[in-house]
Amino acid sequence: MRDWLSDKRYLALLVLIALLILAVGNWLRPRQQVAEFAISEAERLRLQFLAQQRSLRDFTSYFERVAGSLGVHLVRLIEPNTSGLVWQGNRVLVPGLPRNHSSIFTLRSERFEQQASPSLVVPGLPISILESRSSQGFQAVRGDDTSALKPGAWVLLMTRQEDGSTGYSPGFFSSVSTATCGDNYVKEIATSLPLDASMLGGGLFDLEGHFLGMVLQCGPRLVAISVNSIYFWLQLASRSSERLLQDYGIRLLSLNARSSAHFQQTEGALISEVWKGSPAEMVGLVPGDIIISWDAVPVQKPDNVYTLQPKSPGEVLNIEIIRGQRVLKLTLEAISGGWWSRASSTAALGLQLELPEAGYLIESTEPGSPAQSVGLQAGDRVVMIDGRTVSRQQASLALNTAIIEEPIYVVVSRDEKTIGVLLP
Amino acid sequence: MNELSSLGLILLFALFAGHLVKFLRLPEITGYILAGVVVGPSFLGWVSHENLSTLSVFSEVALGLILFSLGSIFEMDRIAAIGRGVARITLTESAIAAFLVTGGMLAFGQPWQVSFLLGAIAMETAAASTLMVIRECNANGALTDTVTGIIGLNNIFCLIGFSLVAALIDLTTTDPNVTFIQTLYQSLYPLVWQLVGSVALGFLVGVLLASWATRVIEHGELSILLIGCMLLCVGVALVLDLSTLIASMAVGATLSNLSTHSKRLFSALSRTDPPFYAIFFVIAGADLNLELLGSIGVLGVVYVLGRSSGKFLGAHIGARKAGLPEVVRRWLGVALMSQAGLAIGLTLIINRRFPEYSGAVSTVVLAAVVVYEMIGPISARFAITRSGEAQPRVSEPAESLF
Repeated sequence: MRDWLSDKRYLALLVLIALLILAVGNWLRPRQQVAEFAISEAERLRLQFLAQQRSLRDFTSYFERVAGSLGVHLVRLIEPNTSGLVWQGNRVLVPGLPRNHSSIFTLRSERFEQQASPSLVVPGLPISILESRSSQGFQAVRGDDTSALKPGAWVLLMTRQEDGSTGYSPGFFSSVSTATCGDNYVKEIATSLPLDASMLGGGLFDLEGHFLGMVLQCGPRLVAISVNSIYFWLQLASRSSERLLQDYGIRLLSLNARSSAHFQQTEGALISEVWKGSPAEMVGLVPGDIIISWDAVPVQKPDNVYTLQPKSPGEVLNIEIIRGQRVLKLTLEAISGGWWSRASSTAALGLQLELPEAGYLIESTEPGSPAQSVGLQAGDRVVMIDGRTVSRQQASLALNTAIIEEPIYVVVSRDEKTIGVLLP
Repeated sequence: MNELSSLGLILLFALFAGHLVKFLRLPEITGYILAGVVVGPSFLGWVSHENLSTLSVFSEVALGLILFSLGSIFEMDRIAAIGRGVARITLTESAIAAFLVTGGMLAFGQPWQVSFLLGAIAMETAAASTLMVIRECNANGALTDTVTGIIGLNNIFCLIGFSLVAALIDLTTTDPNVTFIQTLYQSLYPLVWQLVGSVALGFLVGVLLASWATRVIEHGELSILLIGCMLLCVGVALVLDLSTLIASMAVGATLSNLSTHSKRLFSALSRTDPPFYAIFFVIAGADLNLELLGSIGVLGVVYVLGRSSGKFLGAHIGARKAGLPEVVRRWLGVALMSQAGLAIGLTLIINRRFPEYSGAVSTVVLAAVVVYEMIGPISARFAITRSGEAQPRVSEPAESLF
């Protein structure tokens, strides 16, 4: 047998036959191996579902990893109940703080809890800054412009939950638009994520961990405000006019021709806005008062006040103002950080007094009317006209008969402040 | 744990378990299988399902090598001497095992399709584990020759039987859009293709191996040639939908008939392949799902009993008819208990081809495989030692490393 096979010619023939069998057999093979490999539709769907479920799970664990690395930027403010973001060092960015609160706040993160005090609270600004006792365990966010972001890119909205755990929701970036928030125009980030109260103070991040924006309260709405707008606000808050607002609760205007004529005063700084509960209100300053001396420095215009070195907290200063025909001397105490709640509360008795709803309600302002052009709004309450409290009749008479040659100075109460305007 | 450390763990654990079971006078491969069960997902989970599927390529190679060495028994002179008897015995024991299992299943109210599929699968005897036990016992004699012959043929018979049953099921489920001829072609052609094509492929690879082997002298080069050819054979067989089992055996058969160097090649193999075998059996053990034992149920018991008694009875009757000596008649059936490889492969085919019957068939077969993989090698070793064909292994003098 072996001899027969060892003949090279026979072997070559056999090899040829084998090759032929393989070639022909493979060619004849049922092409679609229906019977052999068919998978039922149900099985196919199940496999597909499993594959999708698997990749979704991969997705989720990817988000979890990103979210886990972003947790170091987030804190929870216990009272009021919001999230906050570590901004620089031991400074924490939080939504605009309420005033009926003691000046000690508690911050909570995954591992620790620590106390913080207000560092920057500008009346009317939707963000505030708290300063914690130490910066241990904090890591500041890295801000990034949204301009590089394409619509449809993944974003994560990160919050610190009440129990200290990190919360995140993934969504898509859609666009950046301009919106009004308080008195300013801001950049609003639109995403696929619905915002609710539990997300207030949360941060919006891209998947590389760049901080894009923060969820803040703008009037009745919750808005994701872009980092650029936050920078803008913080710059604004560091201006000297805003420092004056933070420390004393007043805004100043320089006297123009009309107001000079009306108040019969050519030099000084006109107080146009006084915040309720502020040191200025405590000593009785009202819109329409004209500052002529600030800490023994004569004042010709607001810049004279702005250029002075700000006082440290608790320091007092003497000012002179003109109200009507009289010159008044007052003593003002600076309270830094705009944190006036202790000053306004009658702390000794443990009471907090709410101001009565004084004045007459402006129900509407006609578009294009002088009232609207100077900034009066529906909802404002008329408190004083030309430095005097007035009856309803006097008020409507004065408002109806005011003419350009003989303007009246109207003080209205709006939300947390009183504002003075010259009408018409 | 990654694949490499899994692999290392598998090898060391296998060696350790192999030493351990020798004290209990159990076959080494039982130790490997038990080691696999312990490190596998059923117990410790050091080797995960993902690891197993990555390592399955080693299993393919190992199975190829095992069947390659099994193929050496198909030497022409040997076939002329004992071929007829072995074929008759194989036919008898396969047929009786299939008959008993099918009958038992029908008696317990199973549909005829399930009963026939299980009957066809019951024919199979695991080539790998039985051959390894023979090798470990260094067995030589009439029983050993008969057993090696039977396990070679047995798998082919099982494949044929299974294909016929599958064709029958296809033919009875009449699809109005498909003609009778088409159905016949669809269901029987794969059988013909797997038999003829696999032999052709194995022959080609065998010729390549034999003609190249004359030019290779070093032992290391011989191993490279051998493993390269086996990988090629198994790979091409998978691509062409051929039977890796038959193709690998055909390589061995071709080689032993063509080459005068075949002895040298097979001995080179036996020095190269132990790590592959260890991996193969540990993976087989790790793949065993012990939880299935709980769900074996009445059908599983019927299957195990039917197949065992069928094998035993069939081997006895067949051996008597063939006029084999008393010792072979008594122990042949006991040596044929193992069941694994092809049976598992066939359940996978059933899963794809007859999903409506796969639930019952898979549960029974996979649970029975757990039983047979445990008792099969032990009973085979028992039969071989009792028959007196086991011989002490001549251990090669290991050179000291220090």
